[in-house]
Amino acid sequence: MAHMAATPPAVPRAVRRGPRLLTDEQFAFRLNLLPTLIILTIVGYPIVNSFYLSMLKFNLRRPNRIEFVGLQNFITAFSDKSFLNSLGFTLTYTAITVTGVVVVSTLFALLLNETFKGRGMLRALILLPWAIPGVVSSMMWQWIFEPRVGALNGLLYQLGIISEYRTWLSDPATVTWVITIPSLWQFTPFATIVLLSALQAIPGELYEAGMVDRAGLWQRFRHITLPWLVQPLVIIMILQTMNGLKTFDIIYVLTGGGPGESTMSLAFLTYRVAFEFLDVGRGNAYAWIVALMTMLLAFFYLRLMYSKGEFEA
Amino acid sequence: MFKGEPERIQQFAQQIQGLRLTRRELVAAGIKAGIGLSALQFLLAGCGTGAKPAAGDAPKLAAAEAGAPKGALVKLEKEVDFFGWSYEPDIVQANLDRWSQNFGVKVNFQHFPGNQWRQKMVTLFQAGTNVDAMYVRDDDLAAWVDAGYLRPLDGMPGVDKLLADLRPANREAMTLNGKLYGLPYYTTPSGMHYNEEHLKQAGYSKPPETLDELQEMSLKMKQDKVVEWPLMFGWKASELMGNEFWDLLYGAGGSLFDKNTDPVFPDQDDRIVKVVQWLHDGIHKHKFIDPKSFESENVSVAMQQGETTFQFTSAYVAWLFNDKSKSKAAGQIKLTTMPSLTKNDKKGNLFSTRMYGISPKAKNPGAAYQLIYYMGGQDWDGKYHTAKNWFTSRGLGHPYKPLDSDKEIIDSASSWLDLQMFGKLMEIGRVREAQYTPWYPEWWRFMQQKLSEALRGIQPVEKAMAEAAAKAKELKKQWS
Repeated sequence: MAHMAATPPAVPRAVRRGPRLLTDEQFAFRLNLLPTLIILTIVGYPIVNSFYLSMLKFNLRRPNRIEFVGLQNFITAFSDKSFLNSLGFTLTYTAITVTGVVVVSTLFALLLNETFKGRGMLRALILLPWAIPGVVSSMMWQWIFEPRVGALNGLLYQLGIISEYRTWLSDPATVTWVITIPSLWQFTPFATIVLLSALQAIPGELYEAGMVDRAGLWQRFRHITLPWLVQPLVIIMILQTMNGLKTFDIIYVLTGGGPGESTMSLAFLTYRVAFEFLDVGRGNAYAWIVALMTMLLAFFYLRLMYSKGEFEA
Repeated sequence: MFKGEPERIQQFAQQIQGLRLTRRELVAAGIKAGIGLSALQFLLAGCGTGAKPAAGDAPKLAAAEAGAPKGALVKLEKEVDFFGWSYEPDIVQANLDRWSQNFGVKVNFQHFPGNQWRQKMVTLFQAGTNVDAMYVRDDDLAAWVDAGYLRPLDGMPGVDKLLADLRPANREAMTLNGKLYGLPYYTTPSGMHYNEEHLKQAGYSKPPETLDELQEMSLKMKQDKVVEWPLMFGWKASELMGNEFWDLLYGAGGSLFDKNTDPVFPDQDDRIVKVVQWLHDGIHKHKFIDPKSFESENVSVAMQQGETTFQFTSAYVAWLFNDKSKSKAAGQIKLTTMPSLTKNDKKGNLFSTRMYGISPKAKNPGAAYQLIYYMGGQDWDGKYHTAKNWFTSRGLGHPYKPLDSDKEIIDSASSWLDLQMFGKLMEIGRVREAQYTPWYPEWWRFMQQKLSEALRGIQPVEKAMAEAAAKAKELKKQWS
């Protein structure tokens, strides 16, 4: 009706808060400003301080003699034989553990996706290794690998696979492979659970359709299962790569970086330089190198993942 | 109640004040009275009377505030923060309680594992945590002095008396650039422990004097099935690994560094190469050294069980080896000098002195000094109580000459240690070369890696030692 008032046009909702009107976004921003600053300070300050320290020649044995050297610590690292040796070992170790975790967890996930008696209990038990703290797990493996009374030697000797007890952790020929076993044991369960949940999201009709088309076991795995597992696999690879690059507790407990420095991981070298040699500048530089390598690899994996496209249910 | 002092203080206090006092008040009054007497003595000495303080006055003298002018009144603080590594903390606590109860000063004792000691202490220093007094390793002395973590003790009340009783080598080990930085915790030479019974079974009546003789005896014992592995080591990578290399090198009369801490190995002095090569051959060629040594940290248990024959380690471990409640081989294990390369070598062995020190930033310097005077020197009766206690209870060597003829020490040692041999090892003992440089800990870690590589056959012995020498030169240049 003509005499009724026209509906006013829609305007952004505003609230009078104080002398000025604030939008919801502005209000939310202001409310979150203080917590954000606190979090940035707690997280950001150590990172910035660490980078600053990495640019100093600073040893706690001479705490009063500090010198700003810029990127010298980073440059020197790549000409230091010990650092390059650690880098080589760490990359090898990471490659072995990533491959091992991916393969073993995929197999476990496929197994646990089948229906059989005791499946529920097995799914629960498989998480146990992941629940044990790293140092405790390493000490347990130390006893398993013990050259005089260890379970591994005892088992292999009884089975006739070896003729005498061996020093697994001090033999340069075996130590790099042997030392990956605790890592595989500890991180496979988590990867298995992630892949298992991805497997359970695959529509059953796809497999039925494949079987109608007479697709074999391998073909169903390659064309149906694997594409659905790409994203969780990439996530597992990122996580396991990060674990590999920052491996410390296993090395510390089992070998101490030996024999010689053949199992000196980058993280363990960083610890030794920073806390045993008390070289704060170099230690922080090494830590930054490890962090940058991790970020670079994560970026590479993510690009790989997104290049495969998205899948929708 | 402890003998002597509390009753004397009580009588003294009652004479002065004519009051019955609480124990704390008695102790405090006694200290004040003693300090007053000490101050008077200093004044009188200044006036030329030449009166010397009696032995029992040592703790009162020691209570003088570190750095305060002589004769000044003393403030003994109410508590002291004391740090040590985790060796027999119960015994340490008992010693501390004894002192604490006598002086009414609370001791806050904290201890850390030995293989994290350096890191923990430096972190505490840098964080500004109050450290009044602490243990100090001789191989950390130079670095800690350079960093300003230790206070010189020269001229402190009562120190001269202790120094007069100290063995010169121990005094030297606690001195840097002419200044004294510690009072002794314990001292120990190293030597070769051997199972006499094993040798007898193999037909030998005395221990080997050279490495060749040791090898011959070991192979004979192995052949006669006396023991499977006559020689074992603890070579698992750790900060504390490898003192036996110094022992073997010194046994051969060798050196790694000259007086200027420049490396003389492997070119000018190749004895370390020969020693390490001997070890390498013992593992891989002649097979009398247990290859599981690379994954062992401590093989003393094997010695106690009678599973091995020879071990190169500190003399005080003989206490453990010959303790019937802990060792199957008790009574069989003797101590002797290190084997040499040839019979003409000038034999030596490693020798260590661990000490107590005070921080220059101590909040409780008076109590700190008095505490280390008691722990590293004399108690209120003028006795070397703590040093004696360590020797009789755990076999830790003492550095004080008067204790050599102490009946309790002699009786205590009779079941586990040849005191004459101990004295001989102390005489020929040598400190780790270059340990008084700030770069020594980093270099030694590198040397451990090279020794491991050489022993494992990862690279030739001479090459590994050449790399270790090059590293020493590099670090010395970096720190100059």
